[in-house]
Amino acid sequence: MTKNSIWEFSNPLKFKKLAGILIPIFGIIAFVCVITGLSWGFFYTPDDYKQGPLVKIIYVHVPSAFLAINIYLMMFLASLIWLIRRHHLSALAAKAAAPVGLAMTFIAIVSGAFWGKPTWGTYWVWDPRLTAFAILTLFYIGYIILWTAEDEPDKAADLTSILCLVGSVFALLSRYAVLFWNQGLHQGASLSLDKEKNVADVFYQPLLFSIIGFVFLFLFLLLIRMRTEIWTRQINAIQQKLGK
Amino acid sequence: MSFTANGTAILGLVFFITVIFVSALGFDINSTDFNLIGPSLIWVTALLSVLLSAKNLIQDDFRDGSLDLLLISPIPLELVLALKAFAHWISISLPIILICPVISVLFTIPFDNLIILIIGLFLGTPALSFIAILGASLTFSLRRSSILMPILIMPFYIPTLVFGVKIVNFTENTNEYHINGLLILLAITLLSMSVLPFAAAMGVKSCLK
Amino acid sequence: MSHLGEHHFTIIASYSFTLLVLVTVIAQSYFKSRKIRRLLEKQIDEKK
Repeated sequence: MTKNSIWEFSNPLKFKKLAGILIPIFGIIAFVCVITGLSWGFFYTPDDYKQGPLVKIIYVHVPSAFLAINIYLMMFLASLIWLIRRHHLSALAAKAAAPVGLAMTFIAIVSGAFWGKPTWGTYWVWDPRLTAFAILTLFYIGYIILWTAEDEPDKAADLTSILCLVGSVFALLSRYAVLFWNQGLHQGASLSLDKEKNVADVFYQPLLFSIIGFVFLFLFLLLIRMRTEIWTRQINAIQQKLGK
Repeated sequence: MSFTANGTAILGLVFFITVIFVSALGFDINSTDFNLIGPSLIWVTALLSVLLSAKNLIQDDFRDGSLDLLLISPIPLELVLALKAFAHWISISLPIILICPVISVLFTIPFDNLIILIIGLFLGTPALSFIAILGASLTFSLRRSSILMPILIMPFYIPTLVFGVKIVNFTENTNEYHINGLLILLAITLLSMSVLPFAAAMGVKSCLK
Repeated sequence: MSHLGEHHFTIIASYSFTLLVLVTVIAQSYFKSRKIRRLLEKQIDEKK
């Protein structure tokens, strides 16, 4: 196989057709769910008796944190599939997902910081959870930068996949390291950010909308970005043909 | 393997000592916590020493063509890379560990803490070299690899760094705390030594296709 | 709670930041998509 192999059009064609149908659908679902979740959560739920209205930040904090982690997990799987089975779409999916994941970590960290300020008095604390998210941000940024550093697509896919796979292991290790760093080996998480688990039903339903909305938003963006990538490669393939 | 350890070792050591000394001046000598920064500064500087001396691990062989020869040789590439990482550890980290008692005088580190620090460095720094070889394998053929590699690799150093430093300044009084921490450092190192050569080999082969 | 107003500001600030980031990502994805699509169509026309 030559280094600059022409893109095989079979799988991506089917994908493009599917994407064309799904993108508007996902976009609408995402829009509706997010707006519903956020407005319902903000305007129509009562104030928590302990934290006041502040707990409503969970409507952006929880979905974004949830997605930040799960997108990285998805990138891990996509990278694995690329290295083993060499499906180009898989590598593209990971590449496309990363910036969205990065955006989610920003949202998670900033919303976490806003939540923390009234509780702790400062915007940033080296809370194990916030710190772990900051570390995740670094992993995302490194991954994205590595994609831009290499022009040849297959090679870039290889390098970034390896980075993502090994990175996942170390990201996980870091999670526990930061917990140890902040609290020693055997203490459980004690800070209030874990309260989401205890939220009452009345908060739970808008949260569901919000989470679902964010997930569909991710899928919407993923498909758009993957399609853009495929088009880009088509352009490169055409230019190479013309160049010969 | 034509890896001249001596030149790199001395340079690495001088780098380490210089950075520690200059950095120490950046802290407030009158603050009561001044001596506590010792272990942290030692670990972080060790990290930087490993990181900054590692970028040529693979690149030199790539440039002069011997990397292709290594691919053809009967020795598996994974082993070659592992040996490179190990040699790097011997030339950079081992001198640092040996000079640690001298450096510890700058910060009046108590003997007990020093023991934990040194054992921790011994158990944890191999991981740093192995992670560095992974970083080198991913970036040696890219432009601006010298700034790119630290960006990619530093986050990987977080677990080793955290465990290495945290167990030194005695806040807990149980030996179990220190032993657990040291075991975790060892585990991270063993994990790195067993898995990363394979990942690094994949990276090298991908660049040389 | 006497700090009610302050908390509302915080919530609005975090919601706004979220929307800002989301809109940025969506906009970037969408506009790049459009740009590449136009480029592709131009290339296909040139090829013919």
